[in-house]
Amino acid sequence: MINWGSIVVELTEQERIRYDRQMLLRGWGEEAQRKVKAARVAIAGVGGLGSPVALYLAAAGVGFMRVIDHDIVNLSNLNRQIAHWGTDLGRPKVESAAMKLTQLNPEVKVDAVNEAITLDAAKDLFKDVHIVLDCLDSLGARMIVNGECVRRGMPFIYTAVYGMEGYMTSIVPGKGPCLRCIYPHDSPASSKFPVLGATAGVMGCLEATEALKYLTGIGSLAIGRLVIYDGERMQFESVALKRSPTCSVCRFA
Amino acid sequence: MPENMRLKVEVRLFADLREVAGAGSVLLDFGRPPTVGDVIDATIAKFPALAQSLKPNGKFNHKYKVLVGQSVVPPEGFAQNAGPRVALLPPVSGG
Repeated sequence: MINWGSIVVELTEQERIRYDRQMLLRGWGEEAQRKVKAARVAIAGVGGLGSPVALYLAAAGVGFMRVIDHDIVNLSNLNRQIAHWGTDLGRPKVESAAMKLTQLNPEVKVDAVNEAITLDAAKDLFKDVHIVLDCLDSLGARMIVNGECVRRGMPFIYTAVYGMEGYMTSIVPGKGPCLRCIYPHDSPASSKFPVLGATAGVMGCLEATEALKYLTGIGSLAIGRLVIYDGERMQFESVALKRSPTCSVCRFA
Repeated sequence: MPENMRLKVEVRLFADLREVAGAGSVLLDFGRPPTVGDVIDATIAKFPALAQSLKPNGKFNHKYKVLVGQSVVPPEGFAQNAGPRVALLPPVSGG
């Protein structure tokens, strides 16, 4: 949980109206909303998962969002990457996303970073945020996020989709397994895989929910637990995950 | 053996395994309590196309996770009894 100390941000009258419905949530109120306003998040990847994650976090009033991606919008993205529209073809994804996010909520500050996630970039991009949302599309890039987050003791939410299936777990270094404990072996990413847009929507919403819970301290996170969504059966399940005592990344965390 | 003495194990297949097998699950029938390893072998016998993913060169491909009930069982635990629910899960990284 974040130690917010004395939060200096205040809500404006407009913000009180905008966030009225979520401030009615049990335990939320003005205090949690001020935390959300003071929060800084990094969203790694604004594709299928990153689109709903970014849109819902912006709608919820997260004060600072760094969106990171190095791709441009392609026609084959549009079945699922709902932050990008037909009018954005050929534009950098971060530019397209930033426009939607600031139109949805002008109170939110968006830092659009048109870069790939590399070891060096991650060090810089994650240094001033509270949490990272892993919305990437390869295990290799996700492991870079994992390594940097474990090094910083910073939580991140892993979410992945395939077809009508989705997988999500919250990784809080020192409190549960890291991504390397879960996937000890590298495996090459398949460049093209089946996915229904609504699946990315379901999982992105779970990811955004976990992030807001972490930022506000409300509820309990899916730490040490892989949440599996099976859309074909319309079923959610949860599987226990353990830290690996020999993990090459987090055994000393 | 009477029908009610037989042991049924439901094996669920996820992601690319589901695609390769062309099915999300299979109900396997055993005459005695199967080990996790028995269940994996019976699944491959049912869907031979899975051999290339799960046991290329005859050895279990450790990039896949085997879930028994709600726990992950590593290859060292494949001799244990499987129970009625097993799932096979590849690493998923799509976003």
